[in-house]
Amino acid sequence: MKSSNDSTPNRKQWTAALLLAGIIWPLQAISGPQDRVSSDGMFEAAEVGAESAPMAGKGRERSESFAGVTDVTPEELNLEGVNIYDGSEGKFTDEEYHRLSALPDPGAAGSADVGTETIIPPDTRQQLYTTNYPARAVVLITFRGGRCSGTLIGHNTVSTAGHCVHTGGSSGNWRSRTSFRIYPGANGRSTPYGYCTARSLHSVTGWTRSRNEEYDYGAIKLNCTVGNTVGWFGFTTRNPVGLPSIIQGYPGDKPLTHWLSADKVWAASARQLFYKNDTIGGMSGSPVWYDLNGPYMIGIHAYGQHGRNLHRTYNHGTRITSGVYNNFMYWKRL
Amino acid sequence: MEGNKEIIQQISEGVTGQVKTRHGLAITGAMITPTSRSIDGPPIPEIAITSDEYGRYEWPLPPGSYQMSVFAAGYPKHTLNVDVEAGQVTTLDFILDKHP
Repeated sequence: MKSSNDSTPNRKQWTAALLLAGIIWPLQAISGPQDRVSSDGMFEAAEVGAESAPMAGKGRERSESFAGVTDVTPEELNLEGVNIYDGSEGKFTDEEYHRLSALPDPGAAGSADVGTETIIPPDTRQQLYTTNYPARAVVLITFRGGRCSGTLIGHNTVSTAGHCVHTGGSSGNWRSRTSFRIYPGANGRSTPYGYCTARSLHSVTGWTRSRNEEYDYGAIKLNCTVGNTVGWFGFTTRNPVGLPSIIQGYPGDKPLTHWLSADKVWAASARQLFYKNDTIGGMSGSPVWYDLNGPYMIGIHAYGQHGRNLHRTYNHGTRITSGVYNNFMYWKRL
Repeated sequence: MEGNKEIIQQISEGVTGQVKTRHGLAITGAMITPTSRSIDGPPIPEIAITSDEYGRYEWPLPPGSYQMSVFAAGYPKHTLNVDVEAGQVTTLDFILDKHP
């Protein structure tokens, strides 16, 4: 008759089990806040090592940027899947312009104090003209009930804030994918490169399950390849502290025009960066970038001032850590 | 048209409502901006939430007290206070009067 201790693994069995675990564990995906999720139901755990020490200065990954081409005809854009308004020569229809612009008269009574908490006086924003690179690789994103900004990071991939594609948290929802329109280089009524629609929306569980502002980023896969024409930004995990920072996008207090604010990165935490660039509702998803022989994103703008400490003093966004970098590279390849 | 309303509520916590004239007409393209009334307020995304063709808007917000301001061309800024409870969607309508 066996004693009850006979079923207990002996030392040799324990050793074998530990060895096996040691072999298998590095091959396993780690489930965590950088896990990728998408509007079509895809879930993927982040790879091992997806978030290597962002503050250690080890990560210096750098994706390529691309300046696009100088001349392109509407027919060539059409071949890339871009939608051009028939008969309106690349302009919003009157109905769309009225619906999207929110405040069509800059300086109109009632518009002056929109979101003043995130304009850190004086208002240093400058208007841009958007048929030049890299401005034309910054996009206006519209969807049912709102709008954001974003950045082309590949021929058919746009980076943006997580809250621009998903309302956040386990009780949140993906925004209506079919309502998305992405306008590269929009400028007032002009849409010189037409618009693209969204094939799928992407973010990570740190945002979609936990609504954690440190993981507030995402991507949109387009039904077009307009990046081949207008170009795209690179992105880098370089330590951002002290770097000059440029933020440009489509502020909600302006009539669909493109604006830029320049400052520097004053501080960074493991997953966020902090600056005094002037921003406002509508700028979410804008690139936070600097010139590294081409435009390179170091972050994605997401929030104005709130709470305490750095969050109270500075506007801030999601930092390009190695985890963010890896996910952007993955989404580019989809 | 009221009968054609396509109401697909995307949020399960926050503020929703309509922006209308005092005659009940929907105001399209109004921008609605929340500000926390707490010193230690939560992060509020810098998204531009605008009213649709029926004047409707939805703002997903965590629990707390907010000042909600609406900006629309031709109308003065209008501000109302609202509280959001955990797991609740609070309705807040705005009735705007034109500039005199």
